[in-house]
Amino acid sequence: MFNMHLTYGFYPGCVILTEQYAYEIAARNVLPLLDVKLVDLNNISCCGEPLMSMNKITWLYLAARNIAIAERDDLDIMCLCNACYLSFSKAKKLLKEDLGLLEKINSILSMEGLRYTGKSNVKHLVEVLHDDVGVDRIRERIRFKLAGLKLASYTGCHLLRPSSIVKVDDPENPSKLNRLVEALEASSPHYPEELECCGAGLLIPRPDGGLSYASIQLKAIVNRGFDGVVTVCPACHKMLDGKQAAINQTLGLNVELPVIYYIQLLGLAMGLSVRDVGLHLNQSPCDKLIARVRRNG
Amino acid sequence: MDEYDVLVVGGGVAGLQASVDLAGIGLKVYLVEEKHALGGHAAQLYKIAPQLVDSREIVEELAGKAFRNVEIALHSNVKSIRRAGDHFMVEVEEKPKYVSWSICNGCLKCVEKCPIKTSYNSMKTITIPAIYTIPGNTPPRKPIIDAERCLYFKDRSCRICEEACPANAIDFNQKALTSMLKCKFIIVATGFNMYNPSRVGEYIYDRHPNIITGLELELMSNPAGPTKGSIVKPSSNKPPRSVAIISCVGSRSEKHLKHCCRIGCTAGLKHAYYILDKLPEAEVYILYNDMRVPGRGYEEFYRLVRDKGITLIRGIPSEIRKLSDEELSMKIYDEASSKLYRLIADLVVLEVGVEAKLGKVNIFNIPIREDGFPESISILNSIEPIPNIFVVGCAQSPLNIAESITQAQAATGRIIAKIRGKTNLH
Amino acid sequence: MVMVLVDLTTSKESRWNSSRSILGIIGDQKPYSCYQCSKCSSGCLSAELLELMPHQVVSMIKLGFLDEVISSDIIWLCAYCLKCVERCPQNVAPAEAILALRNIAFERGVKTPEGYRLILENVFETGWIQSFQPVIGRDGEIYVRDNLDLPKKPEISNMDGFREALAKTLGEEG
Repeated sequence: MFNMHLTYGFYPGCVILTEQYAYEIAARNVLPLLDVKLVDLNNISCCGEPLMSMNKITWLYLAARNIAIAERDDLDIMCLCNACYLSFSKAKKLLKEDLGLLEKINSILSMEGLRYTGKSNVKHLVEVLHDDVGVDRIRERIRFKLAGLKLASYTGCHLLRPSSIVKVDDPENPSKLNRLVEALEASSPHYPEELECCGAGLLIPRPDGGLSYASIQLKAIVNRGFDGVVTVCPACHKMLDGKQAAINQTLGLNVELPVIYYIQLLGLAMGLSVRDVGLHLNQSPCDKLIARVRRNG
Repeated sequence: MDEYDVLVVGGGVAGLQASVDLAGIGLKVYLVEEKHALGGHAAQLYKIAPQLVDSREIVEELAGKAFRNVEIALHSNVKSIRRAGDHFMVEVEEKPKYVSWSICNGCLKCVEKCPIKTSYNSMKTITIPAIYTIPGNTPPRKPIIDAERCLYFKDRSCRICEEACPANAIDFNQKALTSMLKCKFIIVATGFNMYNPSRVGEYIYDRHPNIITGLELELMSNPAGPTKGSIVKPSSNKPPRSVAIISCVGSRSEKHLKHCCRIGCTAGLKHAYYILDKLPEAEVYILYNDMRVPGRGYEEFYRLVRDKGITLIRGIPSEIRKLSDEELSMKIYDEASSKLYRLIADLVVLEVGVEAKLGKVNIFNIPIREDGFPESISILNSIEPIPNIFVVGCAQSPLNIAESITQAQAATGRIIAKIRGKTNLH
Repeated sequence: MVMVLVDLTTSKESRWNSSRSILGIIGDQKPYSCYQCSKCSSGCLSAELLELMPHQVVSMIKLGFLDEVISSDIIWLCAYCLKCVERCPQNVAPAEAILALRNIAFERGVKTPEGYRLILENVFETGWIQSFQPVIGRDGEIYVRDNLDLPKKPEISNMDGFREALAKTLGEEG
């Protein structure tokens, strides 16, 4: 049994910091139990992703400054949000390929006393759990097996596409999240709609459009007989969990689907309390899911 | 050491045509084919467009002449070659067949009984046992054992073929035989490979039985194929109600094969024709990007197929989704009506691209371009990249059957001219 | 001035030359490589739900009708799911072209949704896109970051430097 020391600069991003508190609560409580150490980064800011639509350099600057901060602390970054992950991955690629752009960004970064060289790696929680911690170690730590539960694994667009930039999983047949869920003894079969977007990207320009996207996902998951859906991105989670009631109301549906972050589910399976994984904050009807997990203990 | 005028590498239609023509004027020809049958990809086709002539007739005519007039080494590879003055010294390895063909009577009882089933060339509807013949109209119809898949060679646990053989032709103790030969000219006619459809993940080839490739449809339509010529959906072995043929899968793509396969548009039309011919009630759609059918007779063939009642939609689907165990669903944007549609098909045919083979094991050290096909020296010389070594047919570039045969005939002409000393080409 | 290409439904002429100069900003995508297979639009959920056809946007860029598409609503209908980027056989990347058009629209002060402006303001103010949002738990209680067992929200110590840098980026071209 070797002592694995995984240390990351913790980068929660805007949505988790200001709204999706549950994800941060669960991550901070569960990850140390898997020997993953989170180091808080100072002076971080928005990753820039929403600013991609407004000004390329503004986005790139915001992304680069956060990576530069991690660099200064000699840390790799772990993101919990798919959008942050894409923003940083895209920025890294661009700054590696376009040296003129790198120079321009560094000249602006110097106004904050920062410098970007691209030394720090950027990982998402899913990568850390699947590739670094590993499903075997996770399986060892489970107290409550989720046998009998059929859960949809919803990886989300920005962890999969474009595969020339983000290389977390097979873009057409992702399965890492499925395997992580299966490590908890739940079943997680694929479903045809699993690659469709949740619509979070439309929340700003066209919120009702975003709700239609999310409703497709919810309806598909319910129709295929899943007991719940497992998310890894706060934007996806917000759409499926936070907006579930609004979708039911606006679109005349009757969806009652538990939506839970993987790290929350993992924490529950490891024996943590509902509060310790922030599950009291989920908007969707998670209590029936919690009851089923507890019965398996 | 045996001396030959010409070594022909590859027993597909191009290699066969060249061998037969050269032997026909009295030259000494040695034909090496890596598989244990002749005919190449052409032998797996049902018909050849645009004339819709039976492919079997062409292959059998060429193979028949070759068997009579040409020395042929089947199940053999060229291992090495080097120049020696104005000759080439070539090392050829004949792999062990583990079947004595001189005794084998071609009853194929062994093939029937073998318990192993593996998909052939990543085509999931075409399965071959460990002792097998090449699918299609592939003469001679005698089997060999693939030691890598055979249980006897793994752990001596199975001898079913030996027990089944009435002629006692199974010989597990055969060894490879290497020989050296000398030759003046070499014709490389090794063909190409079909692109693996699993690489185009959005079309979920591995995840549903009713998605097949164009070549699988050819073999299915072929009376010598696995369904004796009936076109059925693999999930239930019943005829499909609606068929979607998707063009350009893996071709003309910066993400897969950059080049155009030259034959996919024609193949799609031909496949639509097969389906409507055998299943007049079926709804057949071709989803295409461009319709490339140049050449004499092709535009007329295109018209013929349209008039038969197929629906052509100019628009490529982004993905295929499973709708049920039998049906697949895809969205398409139709340029003509400027609308988005959902199409449900219970059989989907992927016209996959063609991948260059030569660059992978380049024994002949032929200069290869980025696309994997050999360099063309100039417009005046596309088939002789190295003096006295000719590359013809689909080894040279994506070509149709008529073009491959014509290139073979061109190489023949060049060789004869060189032998008679009437050329100053180099 | 000879009008080379005119849209007969709108009577607008294409401005091909000006398109070419603006295209320098649209850096990492290649609208001219498009060969109109419409694979992007066939996979696009916004095409199905909201009538955004990515292949049409690319076509309009190529033909030089940039102003029309920049001042339309359709470029704001993209959810940035990136299926079109993943699947386009010619690496045209329609979603990236759409982002570039949004950048130009923002620069010209044309039709940028209010939400984006608010985000930009918040980032200037605090470094984050929004302030703390209250969450009503399933137990009926109201939660904010402060009354949960979480560290304080990270702050930027040198806000002046940060704001100066941000302001500089807004003056720069991509």
